[in-house]
Amino acid sequence: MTRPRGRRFVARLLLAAGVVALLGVGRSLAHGGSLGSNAGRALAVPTWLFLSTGGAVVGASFLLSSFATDRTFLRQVHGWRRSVSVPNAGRLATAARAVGLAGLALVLVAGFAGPTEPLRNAAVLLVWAGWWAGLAMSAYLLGNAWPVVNPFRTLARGLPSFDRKLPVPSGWVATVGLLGLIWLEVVSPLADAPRLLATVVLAYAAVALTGAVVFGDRYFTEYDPVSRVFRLYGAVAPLEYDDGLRLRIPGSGLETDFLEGSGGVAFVVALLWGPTFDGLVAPPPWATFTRVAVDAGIPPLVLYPLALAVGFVAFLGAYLLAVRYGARLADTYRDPAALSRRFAPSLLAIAAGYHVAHYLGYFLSLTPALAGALLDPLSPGQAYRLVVPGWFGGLSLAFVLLGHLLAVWVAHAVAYELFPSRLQAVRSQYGLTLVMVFYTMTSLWIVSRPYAAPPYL
Amino acid sequence: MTPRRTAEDDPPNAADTETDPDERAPFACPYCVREFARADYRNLHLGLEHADALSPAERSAYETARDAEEEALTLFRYKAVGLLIVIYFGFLMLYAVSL
Repeated sequence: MTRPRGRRFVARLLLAAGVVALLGVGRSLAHGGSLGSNAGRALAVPTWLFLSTGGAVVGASFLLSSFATDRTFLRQVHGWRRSVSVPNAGRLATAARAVGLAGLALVLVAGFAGPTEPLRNAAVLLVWAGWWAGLAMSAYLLGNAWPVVNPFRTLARGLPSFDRKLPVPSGWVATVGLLGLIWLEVVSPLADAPRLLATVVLAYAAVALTGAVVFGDRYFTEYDPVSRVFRLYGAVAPLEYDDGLRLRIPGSGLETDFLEGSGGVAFVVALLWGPTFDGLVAPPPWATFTRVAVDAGIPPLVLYPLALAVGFVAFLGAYLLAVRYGARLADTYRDPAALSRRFAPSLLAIAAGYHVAHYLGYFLSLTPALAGALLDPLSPGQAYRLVVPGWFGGLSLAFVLLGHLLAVWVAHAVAYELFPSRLQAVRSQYGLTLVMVFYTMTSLWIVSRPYAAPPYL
Repeated sequence: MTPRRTAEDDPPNAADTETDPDERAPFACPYCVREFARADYRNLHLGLEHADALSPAERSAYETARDAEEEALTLFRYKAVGLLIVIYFGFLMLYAVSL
């Protein structure tokens, strides 16, 4: 079972690009009489055009958002909240904790004792389809449930704690942790080998419980990269928990100043860079590059982490430069560090958009297999896959674009909050919009390459 | 430390004078700690954040800045519409040519 990168996803996205192209230029093509059978039409979009369309959509959405100049309206959208009453909240939380613990037990049992075919193994299905696709999607589409469900946190409640603090900022610790997890996920067959997956979960549990003993609950709220990913995804969601459940307009949580500093910004960028790196190592240019690099004397073992780190620094550098450039254009005395902290959450909308585009079809197609494996974890029957209809590709692209639109909108609202002049607010986003165009085109280029297994793994 | 300036001692067209950014004194808000690179930014800030505390001079400075901003925004909207049209038809033609 490979994760949905590579060919299938490329085909879907190209098909979607074709749909957009046909919608956009249907009439001119009809005049030319070339719109006969359009089965192969989707693949006829040249890459450069496909990429520049993606970039142009982001740029155009920035121009469109700049038409929303009513401060009162923006403030109302940002501040709208409605409290939601939950009956038996205490009992629900207990139930969610029990579900989390049962899930962890199931992953360990099925991982070590279940069948080795990944599509029939409850551990593989529960971790990748149930947790990393399903629960993560629920975190930004509904609200973040991980702080309650997190079985490691539940286990840590019974442990003593020394309540220490690290002398380095927690954001950077979490960023290094996240990059480490991305590296592990890319170089090892975690989605295909249940025994390995269960071992990694055990190792993670050891780290998490040690962390909880040393740092207390702060480990989960600050240092743990997984909890932080869920917390950031939760910031996009329409439901927030702050002394009771409240409903808000999706994305309006990203307009608040909630990142703690440069480490928090770095983590957001790492979250965006992760899937890009995952996709980068699959297409042939990477294989060619690695062969050249290995021939030049760089050991393969160093190459992957090095590329991961270099790409991350490039992404972060591009973002910070863009914010500085925007600050100079906007002619402001505001601290560039504070500006980068305020604008970074808008990137989370893009990250969520890519995540749902990547994983919704994957999650739906594996749901029957997951249900089968959950019913009988140790000896499941035949694994069934749901066949996702073809128009799902268009839906994927729509999600990617929706993420970008939300990001542009959030950056727009944040700029209005930061700057007294509305033109100054528009100017401050020029750099950021360029970076968003760059991110979009990079990601689209990566997913439009044909799939090849990464070498030296 | 550069001297702080207040709304009263600015020339009315301070926003239009371009000087070296390193040599400019910041335009300070008299009600909070924020400083601005241009007088009209400071005047807009006064009206937006401290509307209840303004002196008549500050209020009229805010209103002037707001009217100028509105005018500049209208111009910007025209430019944005123009650019959107260029993008739309540009891509229309690109697709027509390359497909």
